[in-house]
Amino acid sequence: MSCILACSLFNFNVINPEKSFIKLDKNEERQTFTISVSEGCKSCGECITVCAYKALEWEDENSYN
Amino acid sequence: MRILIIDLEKKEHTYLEDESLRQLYIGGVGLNTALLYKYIDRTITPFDVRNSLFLTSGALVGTNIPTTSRCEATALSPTGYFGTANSGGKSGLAIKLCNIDSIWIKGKSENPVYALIDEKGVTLKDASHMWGRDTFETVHILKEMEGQDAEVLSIGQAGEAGVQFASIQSDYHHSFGRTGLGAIMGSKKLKALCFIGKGEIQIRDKTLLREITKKIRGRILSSDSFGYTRRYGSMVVSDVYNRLGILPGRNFRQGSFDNWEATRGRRFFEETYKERTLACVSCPIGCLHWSRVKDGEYAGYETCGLEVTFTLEFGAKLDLENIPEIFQCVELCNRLGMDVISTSATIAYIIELFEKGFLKETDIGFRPAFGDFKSIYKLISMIGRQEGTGRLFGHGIKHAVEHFKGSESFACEIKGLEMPVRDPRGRFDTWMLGVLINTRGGDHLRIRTPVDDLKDFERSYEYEPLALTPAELELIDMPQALKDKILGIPPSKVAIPAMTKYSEEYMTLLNSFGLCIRPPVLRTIGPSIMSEAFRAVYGYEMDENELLFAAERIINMAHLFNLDRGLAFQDYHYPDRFYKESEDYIKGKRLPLDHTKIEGMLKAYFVLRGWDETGHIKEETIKRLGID
Repeated sequence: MSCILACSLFNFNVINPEKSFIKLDKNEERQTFTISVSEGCKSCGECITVCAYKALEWEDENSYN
Repeated sequence: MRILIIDLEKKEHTYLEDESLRQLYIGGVGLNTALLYKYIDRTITPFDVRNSLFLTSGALVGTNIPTTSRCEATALSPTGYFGTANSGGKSGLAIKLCNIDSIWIKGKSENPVYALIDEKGVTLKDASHMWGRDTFETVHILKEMEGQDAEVLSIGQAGEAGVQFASIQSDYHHSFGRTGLGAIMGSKKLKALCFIGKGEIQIRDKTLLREITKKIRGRILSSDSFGYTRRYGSMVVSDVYNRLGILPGRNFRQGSFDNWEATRGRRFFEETYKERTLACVSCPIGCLHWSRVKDGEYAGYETCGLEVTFTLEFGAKLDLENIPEIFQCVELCNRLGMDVISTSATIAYIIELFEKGFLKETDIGFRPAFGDFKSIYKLISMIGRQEGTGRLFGHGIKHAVEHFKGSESFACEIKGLEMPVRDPRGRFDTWMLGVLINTRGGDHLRIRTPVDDLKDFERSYEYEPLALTPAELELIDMPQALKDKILGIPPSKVAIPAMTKYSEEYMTLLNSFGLCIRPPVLRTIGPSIMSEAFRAVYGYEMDENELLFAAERIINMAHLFNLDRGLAFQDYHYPDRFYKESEDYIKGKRLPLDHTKIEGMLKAYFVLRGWDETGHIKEETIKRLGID
């Protein structure tokens, strides 16, 4: 979830997962999740910087995968 | 700090706000200890309506500072002493997102309830339909009712039945395991806490926070232990424990197993079962695993694990060779809501009672045996559900001994808490003196040194060797004056009593800030870095020595609580087995511990703490620490 925390802090000056451009769809029992990036993302790259698992990467110079 | 107070009796909630508490007690175990110390009557029994349960997030939880996911639960334990347990996962963050730091649960409900908590407050809801259900079922029901993003802390049948080592489970796979806090929740008829807060966390200086996060991340990722920990998780030490002969095999009678590495070793586990890496919130280490059984009776079974504690407890203490059987035992403990360590220790005690003729087949209904999955699994269920012989053992080993006079020497508990994972005869070091000193009883997780290694050495009681390279030592964040004092100039060996004192304070800070205690953290993050993080998140200027002073105060408050509860010098005692019997291991025998020498080390630690030789706190120490 580091990406979500970083996204809200650096775009909205507060840690608030609700405000993050990144959302996780989770299955807690099986410990799986899918990541989606919503419209409004400014491609600041904070989420990529904090992820230690390479779950997010640059798709091209302006958008995420 | 903002504390949500839930009164189950009056069915109401209020908030206590006091920012001065932050610099005094930081968060996590620090705040919980202060609240317990200040507000809990020492004369009550653990299941008295006046006992409270405190749950506090670590001070740095919610930030991206690596490993800051941890949350602490604290109450007067069913052991009769200071009870506290820590968990990773998401519960710490879930509390913060309700715009609070801490929850204080008072009183008892008449009927089973769960507390639905968000940033606007609390609703107590009927939980009758969940009472009697296991924790997985409870989490599932609550996520269906309150939303899949809800974070659930729940108890299982063991907590409802008052089993003295019942755990609080966090979602499916994390636990507040030790000291029976699930039984306290059960006594309050509180089945679960369900967090759905969508609040926010303010940060004082986000630029500084970004810098400190980057710095800590760099230190952790460059630590020698990082790669191994990512790959094997806590299983990283499984093989070396066997080689050292420190396994708790068959109730602490066998320190190694010939086939250990081939059946329960780290590489065998990783290659045979591990599917992918998992991590707690904000953690770049990723020591958790998702595992899958590919063939045999349990083919297709998937779970979170294996942890080395599970392997040492079910694999060594109860000698289950097959990892899928260990998985089954752990899941049953988690579902019933029961601490894995205390459960294994209790079953090991039952089996040894049976072997020695204290218990008969007719008493139990079957023949229990080490290495026998079916009888062990059945015993877990009987204890957790308090059925049959299980009822004799639901109050922990210390109470069970009263029924089996003459079994004291192999009843493996300290201060009422069942002993964990490591045999002190195999390697007597800071960690093992720490098991005797630990404020929560027989436990290994509150005193761990930042310079710990697992090299063999000739037992001296007073010192352990220092095996770190100068570069590794340089990376350890510990005040230089203390490094000089404890390790010598130049650094050569570790003075065990002095390192025990420092490690206890250091660990108290980790558990107050909400950091993890895995080796990549121990080797890289210490009081000076915590001080920088405290400034970034809250704006407080407290240097490393001021933080250690705060930790010292917290430890003394927990100890004063225990003294008021009747703790005495003779309670700092390993069971007689460890002083009278040798222990077999691969390379021969480990000799019994020397009782007099250990007492000498205890007293040396007491003196360093400013206590008298019986462990009572001197008036001048209480005054110096400013404890009311």
